[in-house]
Amino acid sequence: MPIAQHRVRAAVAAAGALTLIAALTGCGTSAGDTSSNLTLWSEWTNGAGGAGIAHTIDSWNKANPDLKVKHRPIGNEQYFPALRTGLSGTNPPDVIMLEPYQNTRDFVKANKLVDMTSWWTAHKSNFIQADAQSTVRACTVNGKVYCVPVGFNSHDVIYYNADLLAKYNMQVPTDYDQFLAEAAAFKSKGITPISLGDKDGWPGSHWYFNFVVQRCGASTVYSAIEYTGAKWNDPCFVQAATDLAKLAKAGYFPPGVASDDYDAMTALFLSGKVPFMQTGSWFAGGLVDQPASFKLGTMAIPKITGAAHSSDVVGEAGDTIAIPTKGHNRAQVYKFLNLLTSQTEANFWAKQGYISAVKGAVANDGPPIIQKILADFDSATGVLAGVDLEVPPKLGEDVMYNQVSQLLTGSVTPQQFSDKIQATAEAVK
Amino acid sequence: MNVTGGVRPTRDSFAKEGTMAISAATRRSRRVTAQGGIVARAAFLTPATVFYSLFMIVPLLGTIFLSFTDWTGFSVENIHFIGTANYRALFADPVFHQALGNTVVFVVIAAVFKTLAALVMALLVHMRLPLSNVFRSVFVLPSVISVVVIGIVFSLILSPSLGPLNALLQAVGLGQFQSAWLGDGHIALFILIGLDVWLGFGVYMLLFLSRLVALPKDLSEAAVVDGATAFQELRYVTLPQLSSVIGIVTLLSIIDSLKVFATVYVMTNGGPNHATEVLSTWGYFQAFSQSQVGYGSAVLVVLLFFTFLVTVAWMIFLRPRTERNS
Repeated sequence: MPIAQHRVRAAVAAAGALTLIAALTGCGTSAGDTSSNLTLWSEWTNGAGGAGIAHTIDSWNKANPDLKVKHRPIGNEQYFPALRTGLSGTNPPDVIMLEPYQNTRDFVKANKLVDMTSWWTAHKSNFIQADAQSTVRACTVNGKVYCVPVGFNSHDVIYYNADLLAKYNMQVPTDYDQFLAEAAAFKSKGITPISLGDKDGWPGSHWYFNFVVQRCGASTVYSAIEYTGAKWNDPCFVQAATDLAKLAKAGYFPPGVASDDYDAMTALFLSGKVPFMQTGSWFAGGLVDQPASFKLGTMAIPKITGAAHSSDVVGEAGDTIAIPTKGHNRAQVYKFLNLLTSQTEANFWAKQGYISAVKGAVANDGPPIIQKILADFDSATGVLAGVDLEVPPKLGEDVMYNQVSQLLTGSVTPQQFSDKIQATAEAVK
Repeated sequence: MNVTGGVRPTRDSFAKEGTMAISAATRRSRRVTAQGGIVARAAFLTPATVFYSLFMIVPLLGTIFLSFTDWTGFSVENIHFIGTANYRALFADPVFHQALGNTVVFVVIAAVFKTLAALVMALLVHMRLPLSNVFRSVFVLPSVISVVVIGIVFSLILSPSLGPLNALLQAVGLGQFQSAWLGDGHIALFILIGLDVWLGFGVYMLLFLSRLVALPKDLSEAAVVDGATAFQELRYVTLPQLSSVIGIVTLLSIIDSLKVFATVYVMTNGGPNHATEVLSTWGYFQAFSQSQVGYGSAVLVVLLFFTFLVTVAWMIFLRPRTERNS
């Protein structure tokens, strides 16, 4: 009996162990390899994008009860590592949202994205900015299109607290000199003029990009990105760094500029204590559902007097849809893409405050704040995508972010800043 | 002879054969039982072995393997062996040097203060002063709260723009001590070290306490009878008996601090300008943000090497002494 019991126990234990191994190693039905779900990964966690994708998925699921969309929303900071890991495995999602540009090039090089040229050629007349340089660069690699823009980001925005301006008898600035004068006036009253939290590097870099595009022009910056003549330490780039350093040196940014993150930056602005904040159009999208407690306005980045390219702006096809090569349900993915970019869905997205890439959506249903941002964006003579999206991470997310942080704390001069970026660009060439 | 021509068994021979038969049966039974025991033991060990292999051994070997490749993390088809190129690149990477230096500073200070704080608090709690039990729970509490949550909360407290600390200093007339805190590269690392000590010492205090309550009282009583002061009793009676635990706590706190990641990642992300960069965050950044999985793995293997070194050093030099003392 004891022997028999031992054997039974051993068999049970072994069976348990095998079951455990099977569960851990993912044997059996896997998440992406399913016939009943269309898997989607995106950064649309909340705000306008979150509301938009929820609506689109709901529409899809009602029409396609046998193949429902299974959405995995992932936060911005965690999205890229999760996506890269997912796509490098054997069981990626069927369709993904992609922050394009360098990511597109890297994923295509690794043969992870499907060629969508045919779809784009057939549908691109439905999209705004379809042939703009910044849009083309987002998804095109060696003449083929690997992603489709669904939403635009404009960096050419300053949000202001109209109540605070009115309280101190100030007007909405119409040029950069007036902006600086009002910042100085606020500073003299003990009020920090501009909210900025640069812990993660990119919020401060966006200020730099906005100065660079006005000082150098989009085409010159692309020349530096492409190593076709311009250099990152040319005088216009040094001047742009000087513009940012001057704001920091004057004390126009909060004392927590180097330690606060984006959320702290927006929280400070929304607390009503700070009159100005620069960030992209995505912030406006979140305000539709949760408006500020004060009268909030937007304006384009003030034009710098004497800047050679003051009508150029920073903005990009920030949200695109791509299809992993090892994904499943390919025909259904295109059907989902058709729904996502349909006029009905695009209008709904725009209504939430999202700058939809579909023609007419923002004009039809976008809130006034979004229509104004898009109008400023559309009237630009040249559009530069966020430089950190265009260059290798070593240059953008590492050196550029850290150098901007140093510039904001006065640890480097504008010339040292520019030389370091140029040296890194040469190193990663 | 019996009818079959055999020898009739005597009582003795019967007893002998019987004993032999029983012995053989017992041996067979024991052999079978032993075989069953081996199978059962193997079956019960299998889950732990599988877990350990899958989540420790395989990733460890994988990381070491990847450190000799140029893998970008995008495609397993594109892994190329590049020898020691990643390790040679470490020598030319100023941020790696900074991260290495920060890690050493972090580990030395944190390990010393964690051990000291744990020891002092354990002695105080063991003295059964008023509210000892309350403080014992209070000291352990940080260890059971999510490190990420603590990181976020402290980031908010220390935020010069939104946090209450600077406002409090201003309110009580200590405005000259206001600071950018985590935004100040000169003090940010020490804030993180302080937080790590606060987070970790409670558990080590429990280790000291468990040893303290088990110490025989006769030595202390003899010392008191012989006229030893409280300090002398502590110095010459109690601490020598705690030496084994001190050794273990030091080792554990060193390893604990070597692995620090979450607080740094959440609170400063290695900044400002790499002032708080440690090997774990730099390795993570290289592997997951810069798509240099091979290089990031090399950074983490260096971290692994230091952890291994500390453990081996403890086993060779400290363990025999502490075991002898205990």
